Amino acid sequence: MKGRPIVFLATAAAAVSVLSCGIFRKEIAEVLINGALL
Amino acid sequence: MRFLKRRIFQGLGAVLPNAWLPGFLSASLYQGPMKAVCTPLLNCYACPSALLSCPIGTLQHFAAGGNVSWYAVGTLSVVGASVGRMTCGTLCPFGALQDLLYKFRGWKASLPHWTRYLRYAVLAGLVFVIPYLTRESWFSKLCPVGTLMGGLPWVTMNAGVRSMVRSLFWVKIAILLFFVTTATMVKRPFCRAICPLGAIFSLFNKSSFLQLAWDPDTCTRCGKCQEICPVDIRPDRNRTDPDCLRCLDCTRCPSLKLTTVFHRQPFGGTAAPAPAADCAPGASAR
Repeated sequence: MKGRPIVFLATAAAAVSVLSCGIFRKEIAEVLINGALL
Repeated sequence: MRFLKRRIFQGLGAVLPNAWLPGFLSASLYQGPMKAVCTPLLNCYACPSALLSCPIGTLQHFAAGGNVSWYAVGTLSVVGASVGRMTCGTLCPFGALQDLLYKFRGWKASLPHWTRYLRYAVLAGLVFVIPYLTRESWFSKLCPVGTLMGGLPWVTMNAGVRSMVRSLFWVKIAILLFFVTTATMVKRPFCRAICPLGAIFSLFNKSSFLQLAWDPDTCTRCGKCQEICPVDIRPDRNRTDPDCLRCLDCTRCPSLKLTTVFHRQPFGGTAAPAPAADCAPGASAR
């Protein structure tokens, strides 16, 4: 219970890092093309 | 009031990601910049009116190409770390449909406990491993949400698509009918046993920012929370249950409330020992 805020902060930091990695790799363009040209 | 709010949010979750109505008139897909955004719902992006991309379809597309979509994983992780499975309970249109179907009177059953692990197998197998091996998006090919929101509208309004209907389409229809029929007897069978998006979000229920708080001092263990729960769980036994959709229906009982991970004493630490009136045996939970 006491460690739950720390687990949340670690999870949130990891999630933002992974999302930033995806944006940095310019995956958005491929997601857009895949979604638009199914 | 909270129940009505959830219905309104579920309506918005069905309408807003599918607000491109010209798609139905022109029989074409939306191809604008919003398709770059992964919706945190199982919302088919092959639907003519879909504005946003399906995260599971995106994950499969990258897996079929031998890659991992960090963008989709990151988007889902940010949402999951914030609210856990709340989008399943409050926004998902297919979840809303199953909620409505369960309201039909008739024979009801409960889902065996082991079926909750199937969704992780579906996530690993149909979303990552099989698309990687076959270069085909197999979950999307079989997805009942895709059949309902993408397949059926296209087959209905486009003769060219209709001429391409093969046996796989009828398999998809059979899967959709199976879940629609089962949802009249079992609470949210697709969400609990199959949904790979729910499998991803359920990993965050223990550590998400929003949490469900339970007050053992006022809880009478009457089980009314399970009766009204759309996934048939007991939040008083495990308030971070991976099945919990954070729909907040159970917070009609004063022994349960929404809190945050930083809130150590959500009930103030001086909870009254008297039994909760809404949970007293014989009291109506609705």
